[in-house]
Amino acid sequence: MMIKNNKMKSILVFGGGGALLFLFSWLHLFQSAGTYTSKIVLEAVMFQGDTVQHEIVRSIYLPRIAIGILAGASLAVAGVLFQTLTKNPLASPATLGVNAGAYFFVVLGAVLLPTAFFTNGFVMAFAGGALAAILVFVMSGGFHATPVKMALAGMILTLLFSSLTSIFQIFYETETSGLFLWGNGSLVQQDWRGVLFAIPILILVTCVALLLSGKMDILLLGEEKAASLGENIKQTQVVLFILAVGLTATTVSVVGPIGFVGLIAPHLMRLIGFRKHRPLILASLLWGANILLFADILGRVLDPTLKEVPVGSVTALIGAPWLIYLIFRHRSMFRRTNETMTLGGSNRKKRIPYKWLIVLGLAGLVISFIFGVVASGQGLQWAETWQALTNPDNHGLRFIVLELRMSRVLVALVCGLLLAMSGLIFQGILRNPLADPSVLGVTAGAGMGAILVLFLFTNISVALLPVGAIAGAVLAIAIVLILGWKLSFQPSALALIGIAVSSFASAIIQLFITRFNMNAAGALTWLSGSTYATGFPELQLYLLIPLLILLPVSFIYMKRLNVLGLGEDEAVNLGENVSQTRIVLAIIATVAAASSVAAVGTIGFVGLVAPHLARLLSGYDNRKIYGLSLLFGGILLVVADTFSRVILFPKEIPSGLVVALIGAPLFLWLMNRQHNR
Amino acid sequence: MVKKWGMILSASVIVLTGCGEETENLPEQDEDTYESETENSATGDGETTITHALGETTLEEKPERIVVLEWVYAENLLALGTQPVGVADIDGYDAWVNVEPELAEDVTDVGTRQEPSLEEIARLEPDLIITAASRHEGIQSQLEQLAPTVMFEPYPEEGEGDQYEEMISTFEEMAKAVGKEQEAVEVLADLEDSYDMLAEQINDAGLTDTEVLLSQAYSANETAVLRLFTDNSMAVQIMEQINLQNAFDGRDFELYGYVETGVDQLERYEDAHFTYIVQEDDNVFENQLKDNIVWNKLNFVQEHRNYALPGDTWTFGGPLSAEVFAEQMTDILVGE
Repeated sequence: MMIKNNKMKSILVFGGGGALLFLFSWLHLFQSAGTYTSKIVLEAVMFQGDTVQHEIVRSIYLPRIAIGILAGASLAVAGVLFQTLTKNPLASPATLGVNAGAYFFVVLGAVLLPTAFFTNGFVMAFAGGALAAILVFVMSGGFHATPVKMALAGMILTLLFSSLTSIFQIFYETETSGLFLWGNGSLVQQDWRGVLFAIPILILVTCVALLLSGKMDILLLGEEKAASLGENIKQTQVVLFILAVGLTATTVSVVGPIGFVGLIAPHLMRLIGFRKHRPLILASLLWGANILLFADILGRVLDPTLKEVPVGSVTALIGAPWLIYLIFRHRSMFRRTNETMTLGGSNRKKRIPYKWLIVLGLAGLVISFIFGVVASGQGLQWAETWQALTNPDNHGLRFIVLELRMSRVLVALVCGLLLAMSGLIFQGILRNPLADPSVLGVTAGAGMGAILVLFLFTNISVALLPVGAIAGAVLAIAIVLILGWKLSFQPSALALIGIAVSSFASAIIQLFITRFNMNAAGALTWLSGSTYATGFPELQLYLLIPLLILLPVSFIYMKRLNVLGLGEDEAVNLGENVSQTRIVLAIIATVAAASSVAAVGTIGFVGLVAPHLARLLSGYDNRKIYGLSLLFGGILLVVADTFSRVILFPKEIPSGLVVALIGAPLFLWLMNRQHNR
Repeated sequence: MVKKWGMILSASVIVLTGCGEETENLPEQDEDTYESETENSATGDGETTITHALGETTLEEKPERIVVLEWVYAENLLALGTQPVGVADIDGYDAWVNVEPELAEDVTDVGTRQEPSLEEIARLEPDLIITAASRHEGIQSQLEQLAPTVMFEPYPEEGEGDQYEEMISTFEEMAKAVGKEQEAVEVLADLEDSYDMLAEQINDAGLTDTEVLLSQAYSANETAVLRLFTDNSMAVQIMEQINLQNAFDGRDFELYGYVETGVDQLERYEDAHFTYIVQEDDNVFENQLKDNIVWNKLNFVQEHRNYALPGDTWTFGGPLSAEVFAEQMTDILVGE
């Protein structure tokens, strides 16, 4: 029975998959050829005829199909390797940050060495991909890393690298206008060079992987067992790592970063029942190719004009719902591993007394505030600022200091408070130390809402942008929380749903920007989050009332947050109405995040980093963490705002990007610190 | 590009090391000079009302200190013989816009076109700010606090006029604002004259109604991306002024006036004259396409009907850019 079943399975997977690939290839070809007669297409494929049209089919349309197959196959094999290597079913080039790292390095290379070719691109991509993978691995706890921590470290790195990439795109608007499309993956080819570059690497890696498939099977049994069987694990792991990063770097350097294929294909094959690595690798390879080719066909159905919808956006549109399905299907796994990720405070004996911490925090906030007000592009202006404040007759200077600088610093301050509050509450109610408005999809959801408003109401005032942003944010978080509810808010599952929703929303954003030719640079600036040109109006409109209401209310709820921290059962035993508390707190956190999005766009990391720093210094009591966390949030955003104004004066850097540059390393350090304790 | 990156780095170093030093460039000093200037020029020529994309703005006096946040309007001012006091992204302007007269040395850079520094603009104490609505509609109220602000829209939506008409009317509107209507008439008359002259050269060379495929090219991930201009673009309308035809089937409206495509789409237009604008450090025709089978098989390549326009040919500018573009187009086709 088993054998017969396996035979059937193999016939279906390999025979059916092969037939499908053949069919997709023809569909793809005729879609490209458009108005050409099928006679020309057939002649070209048979290597007959030498008109321009024949050559176009042969040297432009066929390479695109070939590169689609190769890239899909490479990503799928890389996915299998990463999943085995990390024993993490949710690992893939995209979720580990390898794609983003590789892509950032390629962009870096393109700006610094304008005439980079595939080989250079590959070297840069390999360096960036390897760096990202190693960072993720180390930060999430090395060989003891849990799947979730790894996926989250990957996501944080992805955020960091995308922020860096955005900086380049904003400062080189005219030069990098083409990179925006490619940044989401594009299969467009103009000759066979990309294919010829990728083929040997894919074949070589697949062969080595197949040779190692036995060892990979053993690896999955666990390190102790493998060691007892006399396997040299480390060596195998190092080889697998190089292979996986190499495959990812190849695809990034040829077609750009494409997500989800590396995650979906191996999972699909595991679902069908492939356990052993030899058939798993081969089957994933075939179906990875099918998925990417299908996505490319679909992308051009979505946008039949000459413009291109990036194929990476299409894979995200297909892949995000699929990821959510996977999470639900593997819900038992989440429960079994039941990672109660510690909301770890510091255990150090020598702790600074809380009173002093608050005093120091307040002092820090005041200093950064003053610094923000006196810092200008021409240095620190103590005398001028003092003059502006004391002499009401000097209108020009007074306006600059009060209306332009101080009001903007105040917006940054309040947004920092609100974001930190939101992050702390989300981390508390979800018992997930990695929860944060941006991780939970608020950021991308807000961006999507804003873009939809821009698109649907072309004649509408931009003042309504924040309304769309708030709606989008609330929608995104509602989806994440409702889905999370069904999984009893398992930290890992929730974070992954957040990733899925974020990717989906980002794909929609990209789709609109390319499909409707929106001003990509302008949208990018807003989406990266910016305290630019904000001031008293924003403070009045979006921030002051939420702050005044939420500040006391949320503080009162901190005691209940402590109870929730004890765990569901314990909390119920203590007579706590868990659901009600969660709902109220979730609303508070969402409103706090949404008002800050309305004022300054989508700024991440503050809600993630500030509560962690506070916890590190003040222990486990949320009432204590609360004050410190808010102070840190305020300081972080005020400092970022100041830097964003003065570093490249008169050029502005969106402050969201500065926060990412400060926050991401800080966060990775915090994460790493937890493991070393 | 490397040079530019280095400049940004060194600029940041200067800013960082400059921190803490007292600055001498206080607005007060500017204020004195500004007042004396306005006293001289305020000869009571009264109010002017400017119509722009976001409504009307009334200027009490003739503006003297103008800050411009989009390149095309800086060019327009120069055409009218007025130097702005501040312009966004001057490096970019110098690299991409090629017209006479140039921006004066003492014009202040006020930052990027996406997020110009409000503080730097305020420091310049402008009495008029000119920019594009699609870029800065979101900060209209902030800019208006600094000075009267007019926002034009260089890319009209479908059915709201074409880019060329928009360019002319904006130019005239700006002339009204700075009280130089007479100069504007002259500039536009010069432009018409040079169109006539160039059209004659085209006629003499027997090139009247020649089909020309205009493209702007750059590489994205080692693949050549070609912008082909549609009929609603300013570039195509300028070409028509000198009796050239757009070879590209660009009847479909595109907001920015072009579509982006690849080398495979050129085959349909291979009997046209192919003209291209490409940057020297990203020359896709010498790098990516040099040995490309399809490219080399195209009629206009085989019959040497492909012509390079200089990299700084600006197809999104004002009357001066239009004249430069028309001249360069004629030169390369007529072969002078």
